[in-house]
Amino acid sequence: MKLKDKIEKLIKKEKRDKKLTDEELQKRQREFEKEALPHMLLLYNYAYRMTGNEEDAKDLVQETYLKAFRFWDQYEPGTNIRAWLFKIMKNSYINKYRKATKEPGKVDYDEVQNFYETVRDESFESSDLQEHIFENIFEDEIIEALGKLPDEFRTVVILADIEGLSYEEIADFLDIPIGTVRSRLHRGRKMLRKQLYEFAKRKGYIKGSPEDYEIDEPDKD
Amino acid sequence: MDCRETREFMSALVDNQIDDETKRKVEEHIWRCATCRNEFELEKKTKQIIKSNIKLLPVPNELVTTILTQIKLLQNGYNPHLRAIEGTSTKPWFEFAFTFGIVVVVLTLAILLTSIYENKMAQKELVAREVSGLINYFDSVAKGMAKPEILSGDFNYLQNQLILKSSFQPIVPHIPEFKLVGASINTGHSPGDAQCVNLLYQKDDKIILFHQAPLHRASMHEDVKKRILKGEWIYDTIEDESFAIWGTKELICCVVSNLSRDELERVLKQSW
Repeated sequence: MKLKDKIEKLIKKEKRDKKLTDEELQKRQREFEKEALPHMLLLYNYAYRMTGNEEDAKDLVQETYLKAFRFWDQYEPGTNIRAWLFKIMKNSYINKYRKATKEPGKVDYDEVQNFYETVRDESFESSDLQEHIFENIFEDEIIEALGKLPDEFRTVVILADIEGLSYEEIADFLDIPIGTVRSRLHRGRKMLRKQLYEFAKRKGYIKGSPEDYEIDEPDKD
Repeated sequence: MDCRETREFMSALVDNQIDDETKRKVEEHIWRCATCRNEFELEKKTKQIIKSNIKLLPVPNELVTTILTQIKLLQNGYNPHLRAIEGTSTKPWFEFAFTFGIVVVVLTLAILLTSIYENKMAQKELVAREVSGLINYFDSVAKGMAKPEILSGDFNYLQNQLILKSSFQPIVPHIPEFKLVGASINTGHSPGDAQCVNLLYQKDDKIILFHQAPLHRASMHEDVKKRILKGEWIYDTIEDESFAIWGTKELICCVVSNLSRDELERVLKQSW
């Protein structure tokens, strides 16, 4: 670290440790409201689609904003505030929900792997049957299918298809290369289609298993 | 471009997040290859169906209000002077008693919330933040996904290796009933950070990870540092893991284990 940066960091820290004046506090509050609040729609919708219900989504957004406010002086003006807020939310989400339901690390990875293996091995959409996947599909089923995607894949699908973010911004949000955004999105949509196919089969629109013609890329990220 | 490469850019083509040159190549392949063309059509439809069925939901009004109120309360927690002003600015058309009641409720809430945030969340979360990285590392070690770089059951060998290789003087304690099985010396998480030493102890399926780093260079929150400098041993648990943080004159020590909190405390008291 350069000396200049080090000094800057120290000054920043000192400011945080000492009590701020009323004026500074109010300025900080105004600044926060102006900068951070407009992105609540993005965060709320992400939270809603990840947790699947309004109460948890509200909790998550609330926690995110309170954390962001507490650590407001760690945000560097001019950098992408949406990415900063999103990262805070993602951490809160992982701490709160993911660890509670699943074992961390290995198990999660296996699940993704297995899921993907099924998608790859089982062919499920030959051209004459594909139409049926999209016919008679209800909103709930699409929401349910989305909910079944592993977190990593669900995240990119939500950000790209529901929130309409660019690949650059998604890469920035998740700290991953754009190539990874591309492949996760491709695979995520494919998994979702597989789910829709299962629904269609259950409802009897599609019978039996169609022949395999799928060529698929090897599993890599 | 072949099928494989085309698949890599399939989503990018669907979303038109692709440069002209690559787009031309991908389209050229898709035009020739029926399988990829089919895949492309399916992906396009999938996107459409997601987009048209799952709409953005409006943010509930009360969420915005709650957040704004909480920020104000938090703000007041930093400065009690502001809270007094807030308290007296209640609406004039309420009857006096009612107004008074509301003031009391607001103040109680403010004190309650700020105390919760200031003490419980702040302290607990601060500590949790400090150890979260280590807990993740512990998880990977416990699951066999990560290994300490020096693996040996020979206590003296490990001790010598550590003294030879680390930039500071580490402590290598004996923990009763547990056996030292490995150690690693890590450079910090960011370039300015100091080196740290991790020791791994084992007894059957119980593991203790002992982490230490020079106190003066350890980057941690001032509040946590203050508590440690006062000589406090902070014990807590996160999910299934228990941990303890404390300091010596030169070192900051942190222990993570799958023992229960009480067991960990007992074991550590025996070793120090």
